[in-house]
Amino acid sequence: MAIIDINDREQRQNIINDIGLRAAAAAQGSQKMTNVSIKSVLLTGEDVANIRDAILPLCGDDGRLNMYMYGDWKVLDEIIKNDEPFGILVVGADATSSNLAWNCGACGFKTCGEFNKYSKENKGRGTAQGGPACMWQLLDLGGAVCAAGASVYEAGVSTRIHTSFGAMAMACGYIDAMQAFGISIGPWKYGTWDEWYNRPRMKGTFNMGDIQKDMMRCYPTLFAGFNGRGRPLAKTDINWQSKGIYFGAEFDEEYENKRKAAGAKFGQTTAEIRAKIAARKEQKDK
Amino acid sequence: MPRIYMKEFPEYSKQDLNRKDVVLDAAKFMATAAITAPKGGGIDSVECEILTGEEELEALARKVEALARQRKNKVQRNRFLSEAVMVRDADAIVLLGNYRAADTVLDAGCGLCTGKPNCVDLYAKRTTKMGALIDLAEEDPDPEKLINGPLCGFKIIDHGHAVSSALMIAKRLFVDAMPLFSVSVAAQQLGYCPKSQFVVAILVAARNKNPFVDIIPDYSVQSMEKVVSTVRKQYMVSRMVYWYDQRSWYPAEGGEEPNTEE
Repeated sequence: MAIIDINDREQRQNIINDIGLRAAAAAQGSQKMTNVSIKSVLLTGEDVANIRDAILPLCGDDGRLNMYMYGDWKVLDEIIKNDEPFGILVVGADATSSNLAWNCGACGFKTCGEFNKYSKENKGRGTAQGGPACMWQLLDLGGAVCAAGASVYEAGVSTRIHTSFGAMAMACGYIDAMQAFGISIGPWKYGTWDEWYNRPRMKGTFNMGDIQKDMMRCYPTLFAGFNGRGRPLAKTDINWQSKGIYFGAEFDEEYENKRKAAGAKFGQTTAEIRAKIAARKEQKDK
Repeated sequence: MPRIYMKEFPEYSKQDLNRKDVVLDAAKFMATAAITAPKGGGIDSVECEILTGEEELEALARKVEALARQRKNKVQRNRFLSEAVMVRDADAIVLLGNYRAADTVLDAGCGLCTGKPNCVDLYAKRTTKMGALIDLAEEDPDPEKLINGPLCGFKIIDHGHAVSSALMIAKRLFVDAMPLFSVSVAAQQLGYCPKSQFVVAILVAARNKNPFVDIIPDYSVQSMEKVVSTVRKQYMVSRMVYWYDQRSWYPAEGGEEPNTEE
């Protein structure tokens, strides 16, 4: 009888792969209300690195352009640098047409026929996903994604549902889908609720100023006890009332320009990755 | 220790209510799983309601039948009518509503509902105030639509997580559970999950035979309830046809004379 050394990196990756395949089966077999076709692909190794590389342009090199997505990049970057066993299961679908004929109106159109006609002419992609979409098929896709995530969770391996990984997988050409979400399988350096939630790997990435500014940008006046003149002041420190830093809504040209430039860089990066993936697929077909 | 006796027949007998109590517990666990399911941005969006009891289920079944009569397609009409029977056969119904999909959308421009990197098409079809705040109170929903769309696709993905989590708990507890479109719409129209514009109904049952599969044609007239009701009716008729007075005689067997008291 063979001795399987679980400390061996390759064996650990095999376990990750097995859990990923089981999760894919859970997604396929999840209870559904529609006939939506679920697609899935398991990414490991250099393909995880490609997902990492696709994310960074949107975050800016220091992560401050998109602090939330940067958390996903940071963990991926460490995983790859440490050569840790890891996988991303991408679960997707194409819900941009419907043959349900339920004519429910949830998509905003009176009939599935009207929806299909509009979708055929206007189908496109947003910041992360493709649409327009049949809401009941989306419900089933959400169910499949959740079933896959639950499968990984129950295997005792840390996991999370990542919109970013799904969007990047589509942009890089890993999955032929209009909607997709990524499910992390591992890593297992930290516990279930740490890797993708408490994120110890983010230690020192952002400082108190970053956090304070983010809170103030996202829900500014909630910190103010009294908005007396209808011109709320930012509570920057204990002396805020004498500083005259007021909240307001204004066009942020600098951020907009950075965001647009990031979008262009993202397009360029993902085009390069797509070309590499396509070449690999072509070679495999030969 | 009290004895808890469970048996699924007769319906709503003490032993059947004992059984239904366990299903109610399962339904509560399912609702809890829906609440703790993953949500985009961790934003709360799920409200739950659990429906049990003969009168409540009957009212819901009748609403499903009313929706069935509006369906022009024969397959769909028959499907809805069959599902109304399933409502009556369910021990409990878990209703999961999403109270954000219609008016407090994700605003990420994700593209799910419009295919564009903004939410403008969704907002354009809604009544907005104060810039871009959706006011459902002032909207007059289109009576031709079963659901007041358009809805935020991302919130519906989230709702899929909630429904799936509830179903996975049912599977784990070995109770039968079935989410149904017709019942979902009927429940929403009856005002269950009152804050929600989008409701999913999951029928739950723990019977010797899963009541949500293996359905025969024209199920609305061939359901177990109808068959049992027919047996009871026919039996009574049989008793009245064979005039027989048990006080004075017993029917003859074979070629013998009838037995009498003498």
